[in-house]
Order: sequence, then structure tokens, then C-alpha cells
Amino acid sequence: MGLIVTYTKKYRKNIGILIKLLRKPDVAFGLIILILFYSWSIIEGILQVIGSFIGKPDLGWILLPYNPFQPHLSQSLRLPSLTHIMGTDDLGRDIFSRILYAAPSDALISLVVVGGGILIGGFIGLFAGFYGGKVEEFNMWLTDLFLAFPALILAMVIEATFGHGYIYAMIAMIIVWWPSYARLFRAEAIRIKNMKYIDAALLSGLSKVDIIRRHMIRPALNTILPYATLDLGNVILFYSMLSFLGLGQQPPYPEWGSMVALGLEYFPKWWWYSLMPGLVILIIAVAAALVGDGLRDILGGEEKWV
Amino acid sequence: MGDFLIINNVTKTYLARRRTIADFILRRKIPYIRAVNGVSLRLDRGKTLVLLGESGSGKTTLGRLIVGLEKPDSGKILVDGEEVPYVGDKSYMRSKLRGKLQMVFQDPSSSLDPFMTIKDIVSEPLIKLHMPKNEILRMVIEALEMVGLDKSFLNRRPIELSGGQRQRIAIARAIVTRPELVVLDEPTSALDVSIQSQILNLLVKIQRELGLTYVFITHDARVARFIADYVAVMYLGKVVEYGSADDVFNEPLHPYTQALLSSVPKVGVRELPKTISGEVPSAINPPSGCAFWPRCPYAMNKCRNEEPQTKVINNREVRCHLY
Repeated sequence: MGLIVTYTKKYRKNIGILIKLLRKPDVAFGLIILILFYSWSIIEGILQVIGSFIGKPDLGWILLPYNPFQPHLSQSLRLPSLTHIMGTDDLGRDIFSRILYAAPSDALISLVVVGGGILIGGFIGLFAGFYGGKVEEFNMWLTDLFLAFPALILAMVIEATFGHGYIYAMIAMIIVWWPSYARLFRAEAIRIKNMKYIDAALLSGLSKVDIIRRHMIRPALNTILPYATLDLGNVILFYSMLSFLGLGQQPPYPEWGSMVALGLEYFPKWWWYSLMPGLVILIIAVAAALVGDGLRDILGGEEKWV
Repeated sequence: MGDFLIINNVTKTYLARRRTIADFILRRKIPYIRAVNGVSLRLDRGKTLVLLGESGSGKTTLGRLIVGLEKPDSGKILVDGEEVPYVGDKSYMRSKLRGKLQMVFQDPSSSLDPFMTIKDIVSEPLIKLHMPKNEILRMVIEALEMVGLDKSFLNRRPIELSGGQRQRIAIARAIVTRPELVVLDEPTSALDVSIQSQILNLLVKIQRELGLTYVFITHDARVARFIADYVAVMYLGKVVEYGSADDVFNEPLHPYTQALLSSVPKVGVRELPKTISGEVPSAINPPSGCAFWPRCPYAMNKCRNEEPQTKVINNREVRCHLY
């Protein structure tokens, strides 16, 4: 009991934020969708990884209604119904199962790309903003260099040069993703740099790296958290775009974007084939945007004193 | 008047604005602001020097120069025989004065990191001294007790405290290392009057206990009178009068000092005496001669053309053609 009390005391602020989030219906809706998406992805992802390790890939679809790879040509292009709630594709595979099977790759890439963007962008942006002068000029020149290219084109060029596939898509997206974070972190560093407690820290004999570690990372992350949450949806959209173009997960593995692309051949007569994965992408992107917005409203009010 | 703090002909200028590419191409010169212009002062250990002046007089810049938050363009500042290192220089890390010069800022809400606990804030100057954890904790608690707070504040955050309590925390952080010198930059201006007197009394008590040397920056003549041993009156980056507090307050020599002191409202006096009018002139384009002449009631022709030099009169330094 004592442990619970100390725990809640320590995280009182976080629990308070959660309660505030859930009080708004739209944000609560988004949060529930995101939690469902990521927790399903963790379970399904672990099963898939274990399955491939022990050589029993069917562990990956043990929780799914159907085998996402097994074609049933007799069942091809069935309307959504109680047996196939999102219908079947041209080879008679259950679309709902394929969507669920593809979820972990989207969840992982959204977290890795946003995390990688924060890591690289944070490093470059915080140093640029705090050091100023030559460091800032160089770092921001580098950032602008990457920002100057349209993101999709740059990602396509990177993949065309180094190869296709999931890992390459991930790397390409981190490369196009970090510059916007570098700009955000730089702005934060400049704001914090003018605070008097930075002067006090300098007088305490801390080095600039110490000061970035002690005084900048946490407040900057706090400000960027809403944007990062919103960005999870953008990453999924962008990744779907890449796999729509055939630059993501390679067949026969299902991917939301490539399912939309394949289904377009059968549009509009067999509309559910591309519409269903498209809807899932949309819902998750909207959910991330709603949560990000809600977080910004709540954290924004406490920006000065958290 | 002492040799603990020696400020020797210090000047600090800033560019009036950022240099742009257009300036570079057109070879335009950007005007300079002389924030501190040839200031020389001396102070004994354990004494309080008050820098008195209106906003824009350069008193805060001088305070920042004294602790090393700014680098002087020319001149030297010595504390206890050691040159004050600029915090951005490499030499700062090796200096004996690293962490020994502290500053308390005007606005207590931006001088405390809102994300940290009081314990982390107050112990910050001790981090680089490589002391055992329990020793650090003991010193933090001691500093808190010295400023009239107690252990219960250790795990609280600045948001939970009032303005006066925040300023006490800032003072605790400044004294936790037993520094050589503390610069107090208008530490009471953002506080209510009743809290102001508490903080001032506290500062005096701490100075007595630890034998600290203070440089106290203020625009408030009453506060200055309360805390000062020595007063330096500043106008447009220059010290116009410097002397012991008793001398300066009882018999101000420079017309600007006279005006500053007579503009303090007093109980029972309905009408304030007519003092100087207008604002401090722009530091980008200061008046010729004595910078004070456009506002000076005693201005002579000489004042417009010739800059007065520092003269020592009755144990006091004055920059005025009247003497």
C-alpha cells in the first residue's frame, strides 16, 4: 500500500494529465484507438518474432481469424460480411486478418522514426540553439539542406540507391524526418537559453554539455511531446505512401499502403479491397492527431510551470 | 577603498542590432551601445557595494561582468587578486573562481528551473565539487535553513512556492558554496513591499554570518540606503559618483545623485521637489561632453563640450564640472 502511495505521489502529475486527456471525448477516442493499436501491435509483433525464431510462422496468426497468407481462390473478392468483416481480396485472403497482421510493422516504424527524429534532431537542434555562432550555422545549414528536398522524393532516392524493404524504408524515413525536429529543438534551446537559470548554471561551473543535459532535454521534450504524438500518424501515412509505391514491406507480407495500391485495380466495383486498409490508416492518423492536439492544450497551459 | 574586488577601467559594448548580410555587402557600420564605459571601482571584503541608477544605466551589465557572465571589451576585473574568467572561456573550467562568484536575479520565476526539485536547484553549484552525497545534502539543508526554509522544501518544485520563497531558494543556491562574492541584481524589485524587507533583512543576516561581499544592483534609493556600505551611482554606463554610503546619501555631490535621492517619496510630504525631467538619453548616440547635461539643472557651456574627469573630493569620486 505504501508503495502504491509513493508511486501515485511520484506520478501524480502524469496521472493528472491522463485524467484531463480522458475528460475530452474526442481526445479520449483518439487515446483509446492509439492504445488499442499499440497494445495489439506489441502482442502480435511478439508472436510473429517468436514464430519466426522457432520456425513456426503460424504462431504469427494464432490470434487472427484467418491465415493472412493462405489463398482461397473460391472465396476471392467477397463483400464484407459476418465471416469476413472486411471482405476478402483477389486471392480470397481475409482483409481484416491481413490488416491485423500488418499492424506491428506500422507501429514499430512510427515509434522508431519519431524516436530517431527526436534523437538526431534533438542532438543537432539543441547544440545549434544553445551554442549559437558557427555550430548553429553549420547545424542549421545541414538541416536546411535536408529540408530543401521534398521528403517523398528524398526517401525514394535513398531507397532507390540503397535498396527496398522495411529496414531501408525505416532508414530513409529517419533521414527525411529529423530536420523538422532539429528546428523545433533549436527553437526550444534558444527559448531556454535566455532563462536566468541557465546563467545560474554557468556560474555554478557546469559545462555547456552539462547544461544541455540538466536543463534543456526535459523541457524541450515536454514541449515537443504533443507534436511527436501527432507525428506518429504522419509517419504511418508516409510509410503507407512509400509502400503504396512499392517501397515498403515486400510481398507476400501484407502492408496497409500496398494493400490500398493492390486494391485500386479492383476499384470501384470491389471497393472494400482498398477502402478498408485506407480507413484503418485514416483512423489511426486522426487518432494520433487528436491526442497530440489534446496534449498540446493541456501541456500548453502549464508551459511555464510544470 | 579596498582591494578585494578591483574593477579597472572596464568597458563593454554591444552591437545595436544583429549584423545582416545586407550590412556586410553594403559595408554598413552598425552603431555600438556602450553599456559600461570605463568603470573603475574598488571594494573591501565583506562589504556591500550598491550600483544605483535608472534602467539603461549599465548597472546590470556591470554586475554580469563582475561574475563573468559577460566578457569585458577592455579593462580587468579582479576578485581576491584573481582575474574573473568569462564563463564561456576554456580558462573558466580551471579557474580558482569557478563557482565562487554567484548571482541572484531579479525575476525569481525565470531563475529557477521549473522541472527541477528544490534539492536539485540548490545543490547545483556543488555538483562540480565532487563531494559525497550526504555531504551535499547536509550543505543544501544548511543553506535552506540559513534562508529561513527547512527540509520539507527539498522535494518541492518552484511552482509550489510563492515569489518570496522562490527568491529565498535563489539566495540559498547562491550561498551554498560559500562564495567569494555575490551579485544581487534587483533581488527585491519583483516582490511585495512586506516581502522586500524580509529578504533585505535576510541578506544582511547572511552577510554577517558568512562574511560575504555583495554587489547589490538597484534603482531604489531607499533600498540602497538600507543595505549599502559603498554606493556607485551610474549614468549611461559611467560611474558619476562613488563613495561610502553615509557620505553619498547625506551629502550628494553630483547633480544626478541629488536628483535621484530627492525623488524618493517621503511620508508627510505632499509635493515632491522638482527634480530632473526627461528620460535617460539613448546609449547609441550619447550627448557630447557630460552625458547628463541635457537634464542637468546646473549645465554650463563647458558641460556640452568637455567630458568631466573623475575627481576625488572628501574621500569620494565625482565626475562633474561643478567641482
